[in-house]
This record gives sequence, C-alpha cells and structure tokens, in this order.
Amino acid sequence: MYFDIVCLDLIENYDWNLLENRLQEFKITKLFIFKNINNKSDLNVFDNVKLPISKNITLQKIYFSNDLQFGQKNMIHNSRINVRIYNPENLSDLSKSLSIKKKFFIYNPIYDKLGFDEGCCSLCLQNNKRLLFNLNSFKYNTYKTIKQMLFISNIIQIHRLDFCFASFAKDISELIDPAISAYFLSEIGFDYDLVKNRFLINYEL
Amino acid sequence: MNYKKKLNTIRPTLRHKKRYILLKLLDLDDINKFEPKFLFRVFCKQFQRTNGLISQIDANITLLESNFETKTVLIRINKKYVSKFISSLFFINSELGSISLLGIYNTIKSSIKK
Repeated sequence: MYFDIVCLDLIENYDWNLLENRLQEFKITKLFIFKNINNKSDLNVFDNVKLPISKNITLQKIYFSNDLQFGQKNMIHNSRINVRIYNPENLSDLSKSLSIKKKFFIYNPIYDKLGFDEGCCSLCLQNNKRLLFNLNSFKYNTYKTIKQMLFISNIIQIHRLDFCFASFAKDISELIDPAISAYFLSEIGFDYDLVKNRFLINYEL
Repeated sequence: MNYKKKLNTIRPTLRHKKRYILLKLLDLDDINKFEPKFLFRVFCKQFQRTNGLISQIDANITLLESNFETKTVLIRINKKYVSKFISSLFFINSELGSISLLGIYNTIKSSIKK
C-alpha cells in the first residue's frame, strides 16, 4: 500500500525478518534503498550489493548524491536506476541544481536560514524538479524544520509543485507509520487530502 | 422545600462527539511500562506539549483498554481533536518506541471487531 525510502545501513545492520515484520505493521509494501554516492568506487559497491528477496515487499535501489558534477556525469549513463536524488548542502548548490534542466529530486531544502522561496518554486516548475523531504528532520531539528516548513508548505501548494515525504531511516526506530505522518503534516499546513495519498505506491516516484 | 432538579439530556448539537483510536505499541516489551497510568501520562504530556494545556483538557483523553498480549491500546477522545492527537504521536518515539495506527472508530464495538 505505502512506500518508503530507507538507507542501505538499515538493511545491513538488522535482520531482514525483523525489518519485514515492522514494515508490514506499517503497511509498507515497497522500499527504495539509497546510499550516499560521491565516487565511482561507491557506485560500484552499490551496484554490486544484493538486496534481500521478499514475497511481500519489493525493493529497489535509488541514486543519492551530494556531488552535483559527479551526479550529472553518471545520471545519464546509469539507466538501471530510475530515481535520482540530489542533496544540495547549501544555498549556492541549491540554486545551481535548480537551474539544470534535467529531471531529478531535490532532497530536503531546509538550511540554517530560509532558502527555499518563490523564485526557487518557479525554477522547479520550469526545470522539472520534484522535492523530497525527510520526516526524521522534524525529530532532530524540530524548531528549525517546523518553522521553515510552515512557510514552504504554503508556497509549494500555491505553485502546485510536486513533493513527497519519506523517512530516510538509518535505524529501525526511525521508521514512521505513514498514516500518523499524514495527520502530522496536515497540522503543519499541508492539505490532508493532498498528503494522505503521497505515501501510496500508486504515487510514482 | 428544595426539589432536586434533574439534569436533562444534552442536545445532540451541544454534546461532544467521541472517537475511539486503536494503537499498537510495537517496541514495548516491558510489562511494567505497559501500565495504564504510565501510558496515559505519556499521551497527555505529549499532547499538551504539541497543542497546549487548554486543548489537552478540552480533548478529554481517556485510556479505555491496554492489552499486553496484542500490544494494543484503545483511547477515547473528542472528535474535534482526533487529528491533533494523532499528529502528537509523531514525536512519541523516544518514550514508547514505534507506534502503528490501527484505526479510528465511531464505536467501541467496531474497534473490537477489527
């Protein structure tokens, strides 16, 4: 029913049966797995990782990178991985990434100062970008994240940008029930009817 | 002479409507922590932290049942505060571990069936 995005460390450090039970409690049937890739060696290691096989949960690898130049060279050639996420670590990287015309996800544009404004929204629309937010950043940087999201939620919905939320869990305690997350996001400024379907498998990542 | 005035039934429009929320506490293995008083205190404290004292009092949270075998907890709350209560559960991981929302029901009977 639901999907989630999770770090490779979670699958390597925990028993798959335990994880599978937990994911089934949360009705998560599709799992995207990422690892931070900045070199060719990281990419080779990630390509060679064997994911566990499960009847109830489908697993798929995603491309996640902090380095825009490395990502650009390899995004075209590595066609096996469909979903590409770029993590801009500061505002200048964010503005560079938004001006590229290729289609990929921008990860969590929340910084020490509010950086995601109306100009960024219009660039996202023009250049086919989609936003991915991390639910666990509400737990670790509560004040900063909620304060910025109260503003960002309004402009995203006004400009009708495509966005999505996921847990990006590295530990089993970081997995969150999508049903509870949908209610929480409705308190922050998102429309509940808009958000509740964002965790479903039918929503194409 | 003092006549004891009988309270009339409250009009349906003025009555607080209730909802029953069924939760599953996935990480709680210690039977001592599964005490109703402890759980009730945790839920109320978290709700007050996210929504304020007045909302917490108005919400009228009651813990009806807690079952250690199935690790489920049944909570009654005013209909107006259902979404705020569930959103407050988002931050409750540190004390109770992972929580799964099994359902929101209009009656206790419908929550037992599922």
